[in-house]
Amino acid sequence: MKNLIVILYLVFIPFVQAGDAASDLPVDIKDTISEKGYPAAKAALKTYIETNPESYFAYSALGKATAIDGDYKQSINYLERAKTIKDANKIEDASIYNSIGWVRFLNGDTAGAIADINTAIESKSGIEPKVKEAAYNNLGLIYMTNNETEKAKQSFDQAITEFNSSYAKENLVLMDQLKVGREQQANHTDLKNLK
Amino acid sequence: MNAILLDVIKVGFHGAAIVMALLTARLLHQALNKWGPEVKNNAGGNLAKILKEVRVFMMLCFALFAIGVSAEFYTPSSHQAIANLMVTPSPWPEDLKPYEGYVTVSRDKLKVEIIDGFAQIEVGDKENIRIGVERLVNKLGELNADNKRLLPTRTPMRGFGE
Repeated sequence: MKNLIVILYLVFIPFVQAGDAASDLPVDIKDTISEKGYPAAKAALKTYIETNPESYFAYSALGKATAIDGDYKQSINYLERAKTIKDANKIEDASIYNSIGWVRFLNGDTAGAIADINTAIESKSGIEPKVKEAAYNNLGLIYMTNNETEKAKQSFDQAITEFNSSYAKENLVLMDQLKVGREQQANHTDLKNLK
Repeated sequence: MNAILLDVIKVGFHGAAIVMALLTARLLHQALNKWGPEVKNNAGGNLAKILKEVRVFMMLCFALFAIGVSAEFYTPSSHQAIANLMVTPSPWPEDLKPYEGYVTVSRDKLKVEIIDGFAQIEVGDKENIRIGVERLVNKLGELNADNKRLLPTRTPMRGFGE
């Protein structure tokens, strides 16, 4: 019986660790996040971090809350701190790369963003389907903003193939509309120049 | 003063001088015809002399007008030269790079080339174009910021997916 418990512990240790990382927040903070969103829990997360400076999930959540509030530089600081704690404690959660990458893009660092989000996508484990779907969409939106339409299309197509992502479908439609609009504008300008 | 308005005034003055000379010449010519050949030879002698002078003046005005107009066409004035203008915010914001190809100047629909943070524009009033490009860049900056605010709504859970 003892041996069975040891074997079960060894098999499930990664899930236990990931679970710990996600569940080390008090119930009231978790409820606030799930009911009102990350920004509503910002004050409580800051207070929690003062007494729990090694909480991966608290820093990760605080980084997201700060990004949603528009303070991207501070958000990157919190997310980088979360990543350091994750690496030190060998927590299997690749979603942090998607979070850092997305906030990097919003802060103007496109190249860094693409590298981080690709790391999240390429990780074989430790990433939930919803996060991976978001990562594909994020990558597509970054390429779309950068006028790299072929790469954007590939990312959105991947999100549709793997997750039937409704966001990716809408983004493809938007990208087509933008393309048509640009072509019409280019034709209009050419005609005016000919006149 | 606006350079184009200044050109209009200059050409206008020459035109007015020509018209005045023409009217004076007609007046003298009609007066001489009315008084007949006798007056024309005696008392009208002075008038005929003045008429000749008026005609010379009119020719001079025509010549100056022609020189002025051709100079406008063949000499590039300050507002027709290629202008390298710095735009604000300068240099051209990095995150506006994708929009460079879509920037056009409204008057002649010319593309604005962005070179090292400078907008190179051909034809047009330098000062007005500079102000126009600054406004355009600021507007693009606002649109870009609006787009950035909208982007998180187009991906699951504002990009975080959880």
